[in-house]
Amino acid sequence: MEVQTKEDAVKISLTLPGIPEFVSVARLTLSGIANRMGFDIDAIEDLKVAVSEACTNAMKHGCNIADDSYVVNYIVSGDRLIIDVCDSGRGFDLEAVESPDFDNPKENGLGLYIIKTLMDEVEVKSLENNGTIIRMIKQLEE
Amino acid sequence: MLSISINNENDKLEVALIGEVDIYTVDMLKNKMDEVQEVKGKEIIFDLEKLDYIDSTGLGALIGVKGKHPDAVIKVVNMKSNVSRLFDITGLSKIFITE
Ligand SMILES: Nc1ncnc2c1ncn2[C@@H]1O[C@H](COP(=O)(O)OP(=O)(O)OP(=O)(O)O)[C@@H](O)[C@H]1O
Ligand SMILES: [Mg+2]
Repeated sequence: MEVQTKEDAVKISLTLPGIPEFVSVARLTLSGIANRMGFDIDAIEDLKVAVSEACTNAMKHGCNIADDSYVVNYIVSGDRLIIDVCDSGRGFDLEAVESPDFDNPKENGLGLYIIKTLMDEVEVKSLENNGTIIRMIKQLEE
Repeated sequence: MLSISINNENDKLEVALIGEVDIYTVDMLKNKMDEVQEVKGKEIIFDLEKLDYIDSTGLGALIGVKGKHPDAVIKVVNMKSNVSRLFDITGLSKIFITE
């Protein structure tokens, strides 16, 4: 077995169906990877929420038909965990999404806000009708 | 997985959530809350001692309960640290009584 140097990025990919019961599989995979990397329990809980929010969005807003699928890529790059969630849906503009109004809580519109709060970096690449990639990065704290 | 145990008494409605609330299980929570009769005038207490996971879908459902019963006092008790963190981040600690 070759020894993996810190610079080498390792990618683990999951293709999930647009079916609600399988979002938990993205969480389980995340736990395994983040645990291996040495993230503590609190950080793993945060990461689980972030990845689920992105998967839920891919399914709810990204998948056009019930049997659409979406992809979750976990990239371990040194002590950074990069998570890409990619769908082939209608796309959206992150800048145009309003922050939640805390004085008038609504049933929707919390997901992206939660992701941005929990992750170190969040980036959305999206083209109209050409899918979305949301990239979330978390650095392992020493 | 999620299981829900409901205890509907004269003056209060206790709802214990056990397991995970996500996009898969949230419909079960919504349906259960819709089925409950005679909520008016009662205090609603969510016991989250055994809730391991919740995300925006579940938080949205709780906001929905508040929307349906705007005058009810809603308490959320026994939260694990990861759950209470989300309540703080999303400002839900302001609309529910948390302890
Ligand atoms: N993958 C995606 N494809 C297309 N649109 C998206 C995608 N992700 C998010 N959006 C858009 O951004 C909006 C905000 O997303 P956000 O996750 O914050 O809220 P929500 O999914 O509507 O509700 P919640 O996450 O609180 O259940 C969505 O309503 C949707 O219009
Ligand atoms: Mg969402």
